[in-house]
Amino acid sequence: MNVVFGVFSIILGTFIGYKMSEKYVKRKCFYNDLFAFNQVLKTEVSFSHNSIKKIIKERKTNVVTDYLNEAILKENTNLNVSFLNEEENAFLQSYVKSIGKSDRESQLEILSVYEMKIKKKLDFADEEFKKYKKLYPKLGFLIGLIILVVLL
Amino acid sequence: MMDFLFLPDKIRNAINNVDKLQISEIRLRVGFPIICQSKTKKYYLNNDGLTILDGGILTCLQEDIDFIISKVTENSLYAFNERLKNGYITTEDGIRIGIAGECVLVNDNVSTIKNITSLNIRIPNLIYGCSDIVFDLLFKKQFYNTLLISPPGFGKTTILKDLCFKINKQFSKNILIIDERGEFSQIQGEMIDKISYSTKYYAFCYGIRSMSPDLIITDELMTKEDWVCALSVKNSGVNIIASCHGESIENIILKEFFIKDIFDRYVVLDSKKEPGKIYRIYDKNFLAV
Repeated sequence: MNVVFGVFSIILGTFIGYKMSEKYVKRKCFYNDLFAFNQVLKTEVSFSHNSIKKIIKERKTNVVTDYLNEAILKENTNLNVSFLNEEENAFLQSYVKSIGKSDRESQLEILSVYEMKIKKKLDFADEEFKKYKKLYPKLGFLIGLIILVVLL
Repeated sequence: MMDFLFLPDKIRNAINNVDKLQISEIRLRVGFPIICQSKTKKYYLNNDGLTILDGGILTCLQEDIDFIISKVTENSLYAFNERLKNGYITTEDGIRIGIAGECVLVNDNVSTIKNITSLNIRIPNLIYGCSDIVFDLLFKKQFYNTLLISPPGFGKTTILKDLCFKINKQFSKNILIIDERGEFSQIQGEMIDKISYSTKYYAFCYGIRSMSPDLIITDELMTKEDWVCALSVKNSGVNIIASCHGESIENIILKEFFIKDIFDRYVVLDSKKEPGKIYRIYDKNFLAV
C-alpha cells in the first residue's frame, strides 16, 4: 500500500512540477509571438499601411492576437494575461496604448523602442524557461521520491 | 444602410432617430452643440433626434471627437495619416469626415493634424435616378465630356455616382473612377475600375496606361495640375466626366487654372433651389443649350 502511495506521490509531484513549469513555456511563446507581431506591425506601418484590425485578423490566432483583439478592438482595457506578472501586464497595457495612436514616423520609432524592450523580455523569459522548465518537474519528482523513501 | 458605428453611443442613438435623407452633414465642434445641417436649415441634435429648440441638446466633447477618430481609423492612425493630413478621412461606408485641428509642419509640409477639434461628417446620398436629365441630354445619343459645377453640397458627387451606375448599365464602356477621397466606395459594376485615395496626377497617368479606360469619372477638379491632367485625358481620346466647385459658368471661366478645350458641356447646378437641380447646361463655347 505504501509503495502504491509513494509511486502516486512521485507521479503527482512530477505532474505538479510540470504544471508549474508550464507558465515559463507559455511566457516564452507569448513574447515570441509578441516580438513577431511587433515586427509585422513595423513592416505594415512602413509599407502597406494596413490597419491593426486587419493585421490581427490575418495573423494566426494565438494568445497575443487574442489579447490584442480584446484589448484594442473590443476596448477591454483591464485585461490581464494570467501567466504574466503585474509588471509584465502593465508593460503589455502600455504597448496597447501606444500602437496605432500616431503618424507613421512616430509609430515606427515607438515600435522600434518596443522591439528592444520585447527582445529583452523575450531573452529573460528564455533564460527562465531554460532554468525552470526542467527544474520544477525534477523537484516534483524528487519530493515524490522522498515521500516514497519515507513511507518505505 | 449606414449604421454610424463610429459614433459614440449618445450621438448614434440620437442620429438613429433622424431621417438621414433629411440631413446632409453632422457638424461636431468641441464644447458646442452638435449641429445637423440640411441644405436650407440648421438643426440641433437631442436624444430624440433633430430639434430647433435649445433644451436638451447634445454637446460635443473632446472625447467624442477622439472616439470617432479612433473608430474610423480602426485604432491605426498611421494607416490614415496621408488622408488625415489632407483634411479628411473616409469610413468604410464612404462617409467623408472633414477634419480641423492643429497642423504639424515638417519642412513646411503638413505631416499630420493633431488636437482635432472639429469634424464635418458628410452623409453620402445615393439617389437613383437623380442624373436622369443629365444622362438623357448628354450621354444617350452622343458622349460629351462634361463638367458638373456647383458650390459644395449641391449634389455633384451624388449625380456622378448615379451616372456611374447608368453608364455601366447601358453602355459597354470601361469606366475608371478616380476616387481621391473614397466617396465612391459603394459604386461597383462589371465595367467599373476604381483608383482610390491617390492624387489625381498619379491616378490619371497610371490609370490611362494600366486600365485603358473609355471613360474617366472624377470628382472635384481643384488645382491647375488637376485641369492639366484632365486635358491630357481628353487628348488621349478618353472621355471624361468631372465636377468642380463654382457658382456659375462665369465663375469657372475666370478661374486661373481653367482650360477651355477639355469639356464639351458644362452643367451648372442650381445653388438656390434644392440640391441636384440643374440650372443650365452650356456648350463648349459657353452658350446655353
